[in-house]
Amino acid sequence: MSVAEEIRLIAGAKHGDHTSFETLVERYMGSAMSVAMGYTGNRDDALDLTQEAFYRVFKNLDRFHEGERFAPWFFRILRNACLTFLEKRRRIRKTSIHAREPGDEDYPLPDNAPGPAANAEGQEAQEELWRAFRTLGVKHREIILLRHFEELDYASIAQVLDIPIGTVMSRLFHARQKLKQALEPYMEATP
Amino acid sequence: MTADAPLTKRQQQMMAYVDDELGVAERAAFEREMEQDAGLALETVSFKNLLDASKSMALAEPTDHEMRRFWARFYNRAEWRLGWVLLLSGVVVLAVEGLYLLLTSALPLTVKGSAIAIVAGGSVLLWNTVRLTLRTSHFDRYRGVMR
Repeated sequence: MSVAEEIRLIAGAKHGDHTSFETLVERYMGSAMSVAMGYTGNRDDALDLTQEAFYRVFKNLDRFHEGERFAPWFFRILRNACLTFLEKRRRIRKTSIHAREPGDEDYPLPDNAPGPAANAEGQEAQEELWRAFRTLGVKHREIILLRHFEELDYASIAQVLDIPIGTVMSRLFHARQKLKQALEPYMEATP
Repeated sequence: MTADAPLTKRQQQMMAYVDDELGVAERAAFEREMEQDAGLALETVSFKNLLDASKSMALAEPTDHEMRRFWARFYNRAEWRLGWVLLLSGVVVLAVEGLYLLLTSALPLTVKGSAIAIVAGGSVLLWNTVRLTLRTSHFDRYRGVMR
């Protein structure tokens, strides 16, 4: 979808055209679900959080300024929804019979969390990549998701995460280092 | 989580090169540096390969069932919230009015006390149930199951 087409859809949605809004949702649905799964590790939660984010977009379209790019704005809303959800889940775990574990503040993904492509043809390389991805903390997961999967540029990532571009670069570097380390056993086993 | 250590100039350039964020002149300069430094070239290629590999990851495209679930509860969310606000406001107003009428009535004190205890007990139980449902509904593993 071109930028001009996106602007036209947003303008339509602002004026109450549901078809424009639904086309916009279709355009971002897969990306949003993948990002949300990267935070939660659960498809059902990802769907609910994606719905929550799109609902917030729908309600706040008036606040969206013309000329602004939609993707960073939307992913920032989605990120906030995901982090709020993870914090709630952490608090419930803290007060439940399940003991809190070290590293909980990193919102770790469960070992059996399915990858975004779980419903698609499961390819071994993708599975390995996802397995390595699961070992990262939430800060590193989110930056990998935004850069590698969503292909946002540094300026957009900085806007979504509300951090300077220098921090985007250093966080990406360290996240990739950790991802490479986690992939090492697989890389060594692959001829 | 501990903060990430800041990068050296070279590491910054490496990231920017991998992510195609360098200008033409800077890119050419970095490529010349790589030609002279095999270690730098190797590390840069390994980052580039990682980026290319993850770009090929399939996205979580929603199924038809998930899309139906998504839209089924979308546009009526505002109505749902408004309905609850109106309902609870009505209950609160009625409860206050009822309490006032009860206290100013000529009924025996025991009847007044019992009525207040019943309403208060019911309210506490209702509030507790609603709160628990709201807190845990997100984590109900069967919530996505269509009945």
